[in-house]
Amino acid sequence: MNPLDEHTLLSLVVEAMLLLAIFLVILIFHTLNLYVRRSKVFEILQVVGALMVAGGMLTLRTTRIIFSSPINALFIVLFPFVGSLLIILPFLICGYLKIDKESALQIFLLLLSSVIYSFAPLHPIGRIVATLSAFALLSIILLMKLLPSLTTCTRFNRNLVRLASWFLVLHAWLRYYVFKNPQTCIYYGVLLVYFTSLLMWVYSTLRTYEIMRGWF
Amino acid sequence: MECTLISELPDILLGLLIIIGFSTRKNPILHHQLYALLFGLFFIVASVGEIIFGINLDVVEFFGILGILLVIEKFISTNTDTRIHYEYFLSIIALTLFVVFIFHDFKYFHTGTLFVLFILALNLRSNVHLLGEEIRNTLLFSGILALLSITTLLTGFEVVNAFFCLGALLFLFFTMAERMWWVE
Repeated sequence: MNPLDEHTLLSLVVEAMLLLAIFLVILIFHTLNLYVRRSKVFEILQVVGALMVAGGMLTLRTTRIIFSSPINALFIVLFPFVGSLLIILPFLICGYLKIDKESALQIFLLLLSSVIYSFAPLHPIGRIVATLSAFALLSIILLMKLLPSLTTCTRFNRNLVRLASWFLVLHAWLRYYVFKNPQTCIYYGVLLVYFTSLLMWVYSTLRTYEIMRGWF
Repeated sequence: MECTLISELPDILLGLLIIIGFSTRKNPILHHQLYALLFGLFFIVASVGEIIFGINLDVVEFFGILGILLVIEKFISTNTDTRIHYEYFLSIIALTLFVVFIFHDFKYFHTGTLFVLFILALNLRSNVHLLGEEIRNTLLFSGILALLSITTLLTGFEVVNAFFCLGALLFLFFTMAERMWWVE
């Protein structure tokens, strides 16, 4: 792996954007002080979870280990998988996550997209890795759904987050081409859909945080 | 690696941003400025042309966006009783020509377009009282992404440059869209 090739740099950029979005969500809920007494433990777990998701996805994307060594990839994919749980669980325990009809449909479509990995040119273990990595996307959708519940989130930002979550579902369905055409223009196009979704999410969280700071 | 469609996507978005600015009364800067309509359309047509025929029109795009910067500078100077910063134009042109001279390639005129985006975002940010204090950070973010886009273009990462450029423009696009239509 060349440390300075375009693909590695792009993976870094995308994961940095994901980290930024997750940290902004954590910061918003930290500011709101909505946590229960174990807030510090929850926040630390969420930060660790965010780093595990970004680090795991970055390693999977840059090393392309899913093609060369699927067994090792299965070990690495546990990081984003466990990281996603660490981020989402505190919100579930505190009861901030509410799944409406639209979210349920998106989750269903996202899980359904796992079917296409059985057609991807991957080792059977590689297919399991691809399916497990889709769970990281599921946690992102759930995190996105937290934002519209806040009163500081404007109608524009609510709609933008909704659009961002649909972009993520679209990305999940297009991921087949990531495995079929690695490091081609199609691959970068699919990554652009994901990046655009993250940009929309970052914009909405940043604006919501700004409005909230004006209140406190 | 070169992906024409991905590279031209930000320019199409920029064209759309300018045309929307022209067509809506809520945008006090570009509303009914014929120049904005012409260059908005040009950006879209030129990008489609570049995708289909592979013609490089970065030079015209660069001088076109300088005109947009002039329109915005005029708006700021009228509303703040300050003079137009002509030194921005001179520095951008000098820097762009220097980059084109160094790399011996006309495609690096795109650096100039990105310089304009960077200055535009930061200039609007420093006069944020004209549009609303709450957009300060999103404009800063747009400026940072434009700067990163310049850096990656100069270091030869064309796809990453397109991603950053799209980011800078999307942030500018969302900021303006939210200000124009969705302020509650």
